[in-house]
Amino acid sequence: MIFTFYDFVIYVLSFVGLFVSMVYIAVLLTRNKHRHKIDPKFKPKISIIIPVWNEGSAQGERIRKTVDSLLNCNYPKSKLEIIIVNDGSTDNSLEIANSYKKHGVKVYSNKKSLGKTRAVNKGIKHCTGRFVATLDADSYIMPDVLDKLISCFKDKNVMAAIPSINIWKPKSILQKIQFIEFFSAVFIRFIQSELGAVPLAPGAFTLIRKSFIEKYGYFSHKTMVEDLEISLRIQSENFLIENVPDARVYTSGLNNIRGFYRQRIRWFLGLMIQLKKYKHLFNWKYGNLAVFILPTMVTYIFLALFLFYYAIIMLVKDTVEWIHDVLLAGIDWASILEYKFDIFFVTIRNTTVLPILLLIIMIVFFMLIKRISGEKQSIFIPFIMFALTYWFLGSLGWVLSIYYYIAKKKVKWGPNYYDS
Amino acid sequence: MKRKKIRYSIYIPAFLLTIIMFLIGFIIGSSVSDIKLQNVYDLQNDIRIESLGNELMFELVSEDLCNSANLSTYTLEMTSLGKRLDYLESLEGYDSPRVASLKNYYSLLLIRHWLITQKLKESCDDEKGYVLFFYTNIGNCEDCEDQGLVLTNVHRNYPDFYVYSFEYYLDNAALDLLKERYNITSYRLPTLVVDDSVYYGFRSKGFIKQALNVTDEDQED
Repeated sequence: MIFTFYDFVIYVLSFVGLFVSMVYIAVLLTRNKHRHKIDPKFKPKISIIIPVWNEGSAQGERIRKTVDSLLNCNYPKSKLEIIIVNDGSTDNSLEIANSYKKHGVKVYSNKKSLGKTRAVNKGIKHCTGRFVATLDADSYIMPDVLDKLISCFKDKNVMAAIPSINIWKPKSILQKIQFIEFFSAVFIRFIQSELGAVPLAPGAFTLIRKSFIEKYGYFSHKTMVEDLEISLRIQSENFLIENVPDARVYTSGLNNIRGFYRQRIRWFLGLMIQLKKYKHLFNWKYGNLAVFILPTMVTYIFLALFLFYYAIIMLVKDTVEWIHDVLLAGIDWASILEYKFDIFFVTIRNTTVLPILLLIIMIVFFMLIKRISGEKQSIFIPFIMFALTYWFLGSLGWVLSIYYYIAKKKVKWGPNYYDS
Repeated sequence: MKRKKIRYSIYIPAFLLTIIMFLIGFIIGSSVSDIKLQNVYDLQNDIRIESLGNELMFELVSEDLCNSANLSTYTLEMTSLGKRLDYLESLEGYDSPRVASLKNYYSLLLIRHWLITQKLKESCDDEKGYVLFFYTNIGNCEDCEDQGLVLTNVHRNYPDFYVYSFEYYLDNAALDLLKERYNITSYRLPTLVVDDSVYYGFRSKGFIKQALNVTDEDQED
């Protein structure tokens, strides 16, 4: 058999992919199903900070749904403090926030927008709970989320607890693709949590032990991925971030491709910068995070780049060859019209079988996590859209992020600019 | 600071299982390749019997050769074998000794077929033309692939002539004689022999049609 450079890369990536899948299977088989038992007596005070920037009329007043979801949750109201920090909104967000004061919601406001991180930190400074959560103003929690998450903190080593975060009722193709993107993150975080090595507690909703913030510092406003930064800080101190897959939080999917890429560039670029900053985590003393989770993330970056390069090269090469052949000999209609299937000319190469095998394993994982997390929304159609497009969409996000990184382009997030 | 544990009990079995799955994949892959080779061997054997049968038939019915000779099945099988060999070569690589050996034998079968058609042409006034196509995939020949493509296209649209393709660098005494007869050299590839006229270098679709004296009326529907 001819063995090209591409074959070699596919073999290596497939081997890594297969190994990662085998680890996931082993984790699933050996997991403790009763790890996240709710303790009805453990109900410490929780403060929830909602940073708001133009989430009122500009976004169909979706902030109402966010606050309502908190007011309707099962957690004892006396133990729940809701804080809205209006970050210089120019729409009616502040007005809406103030309308919730009668429900005991506290409202703080910045005259000028200072960015999400500073708004969250302001809320933390004013909060009184032992545990503090940040909730994006476009996200909603299920009623049992806080009860499920708080139980994780009975372990003194747990500094943060995260739910499953998914897209609520995805409508457009782009939202359906994001739905599966988020859903795969639900699965991966579940595995990472089982290995005691969650590298990212997502900013959309994370419950954190306030004493950690007081001792090790607030969310950093110097980074465009403040959630990743604080998560890696938790890991640096060898503490734990727990994930409860059946505690579900929903967020709104982006509906325009520009916004989608701006978000991915911020995430991916932020990841590269933070991995460089926290490179000391690639050390055996950090356990599974160092030997498995972080190397897997780095491999994923290479996989994304290879997929993009391979797809573009193949597309260009095939098109050029086809045009050359047509110019030389014309379109060979006879061979197209008289095509006869012959099994001899079908070759199942390892380089085809292995990615297909990985895709099947991925489907099985999705079905499992759907059951574990109790997600009711159908994943069938979104998965097909995801499988057909994400290899390109996601890879392009990585290519753009690496371009930003090399070209040292600044990234705008909210009112602030961040260095690459 | 407390060290975090590494779960070797997960990684080691997962790694071993990955290696086992990879090996199984390789074994399946190589058996599929062996099955394809065997398929070509079998087909070659069938054709060898077919061509031998044709030769014997010509000896036995020499007085009524023109009415008895029918090469259509034989020719179809040769075409099918040629396609299979091309495909196998694209999978195994031009330098594969297994494919080279099969191609060597195939070129002998081609020469035998060509000789039979020549005999029919002489004895029965068969007007069917032929092209001997000398190329190389092993050596350096930029235009050989393009020439093959053009020839395939012409033959598909005007099938009333035979195409015999020979890899120049095959180690084969009969082929050497053929090369000598038409003065084929490695630096003038691709070379076409159209009904005994030799053309060196790449020839276009129009040129080949003209050399074969085929018109659009001869085109197959």
